Amino acid sequence: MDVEGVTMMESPGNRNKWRWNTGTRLIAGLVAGAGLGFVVGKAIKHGHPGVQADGADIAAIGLAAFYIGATALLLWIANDRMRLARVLEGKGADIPASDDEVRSFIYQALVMGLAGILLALPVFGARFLADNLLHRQISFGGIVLLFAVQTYFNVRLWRVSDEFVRSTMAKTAALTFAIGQGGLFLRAAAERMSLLKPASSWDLLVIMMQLYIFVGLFVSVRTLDRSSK
Amino acid sequence: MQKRGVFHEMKNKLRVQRVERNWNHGELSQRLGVSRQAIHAIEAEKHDPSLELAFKMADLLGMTIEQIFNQGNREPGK
Repeated sequence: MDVEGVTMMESPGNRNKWRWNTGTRLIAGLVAGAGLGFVVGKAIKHGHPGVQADGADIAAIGLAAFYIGATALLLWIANDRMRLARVLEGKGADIPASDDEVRSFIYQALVMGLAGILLALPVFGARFLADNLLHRQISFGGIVLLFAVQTYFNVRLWRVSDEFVRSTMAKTAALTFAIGQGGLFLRAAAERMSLLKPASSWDLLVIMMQLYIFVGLFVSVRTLDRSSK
Repeated sequence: MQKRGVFHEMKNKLRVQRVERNWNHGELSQRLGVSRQAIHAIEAEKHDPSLELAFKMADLLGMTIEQIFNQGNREPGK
């Protein structure tokens, strides 16, 4: 019998403690991922003295490392149905994850992993194929193909998700758009008035992806708090 | 006026009803055809179910939707 709910109702202080611990872990993961990406970016630059790695590229590599690392973790979790059940329900779980829950988790992992690869490929393509137009074109074709594959899994994820996961995805997208739109407007206005240097579309994309991660984490921490009222 | 969350989540008695029936989150989620995360979020009043899911809950628990969900101090019909 699951008595966690009754226990938590009698200990309202545990709610904030649980959320803080989850938030702390998520922030730690973000920092670790960003740090890893910074190290990788610096390593690339160090290994190739002629390479110019700007802030957006290093941030993109950092995001890619975070996404790919998270993907590996999600796939490891999904590989064991009871482990996945404990992640979804807490320590009291005694029913293995269902087919739909496993499928949803795997699709989330694939979407995330492909996003990481897609963020890294243009950076490496620009740096290591700079002297060969044909190779860059072929590589871009590969990126388009991977993007199509990721879009397919995004659609599959939406279709297998229940109303709650869909709601979370929609809230994340809406918040990201609202905040991003405001930020983009201010940036564009300042640029138009020659108060800021022009930014490339790659710079803006990387900023948007960072925003998407933060918003996604905010929405997830808020909605995945398993404490009672 | 009752203070509501950013996304206007309602109060509910789902956790109490689930515990009374000796169901854990996994069992209830399978009976309702939704994820465990959905059950957690509804019980924690972080997510309001769709009308379809609310009706499923009412049928499963043998209660009316109003008996499961409420808007705090709001009186029915007002």
